[in-house]
Amino acid sequence: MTPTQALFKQWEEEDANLTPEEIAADLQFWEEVQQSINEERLKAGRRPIL
Amino acid sequence: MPNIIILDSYPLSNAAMPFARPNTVPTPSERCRQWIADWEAAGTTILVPAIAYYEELRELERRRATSKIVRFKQFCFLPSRFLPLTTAHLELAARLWGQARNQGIPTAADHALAGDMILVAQVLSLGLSAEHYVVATSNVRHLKHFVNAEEWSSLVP
Repeated sequence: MTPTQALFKQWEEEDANLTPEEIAADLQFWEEVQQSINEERLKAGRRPIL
Repeated sequence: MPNIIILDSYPLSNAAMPFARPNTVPTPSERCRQWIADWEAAGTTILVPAIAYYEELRELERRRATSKIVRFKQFCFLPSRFLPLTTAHLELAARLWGQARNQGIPTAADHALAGDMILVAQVLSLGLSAEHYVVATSNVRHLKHFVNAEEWSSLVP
């Protein structure tokens, strides 16, 4: 197992008891982070990521 | 097959997302995270450049997302993962930015920090030939002028 696989497995175990609502909230959080990165890049005239 | 993949901000921003549950259709972000793991399993070194780390970390700090920062750092600081930013990188980025401006190659707005040039400098400083590395990104525009860069989903381990 690679270090990344081991880390992802650790996270999967930590998240095993999350409810679907908590998972959905997490996904939404990260998508908002991506949107923010995108907006900051556009403001700076940089390549958007999305 | 590249020996080294350098993650631009989009692939990196997927690294700490939660896992898909069985019998669900993976989202693009979930596929991207699995893609990172698959490449490493194939023997490729995955690098996180400091400039991409900064770009995501500041958004997590803005949200005071302590637990997510912990996960993000766990990923970024796995062994042989992080590419620190040095004075030499900044000096090379400044030189490249000036050259690009003089040649009319667009990198970023005049008033902005040219993050692309810092990324380029970090990559070029590795001293690798193009067949040995690739910058995995969601938008190759501009980057292609300076480094070997590909849309992450087009790279198959």
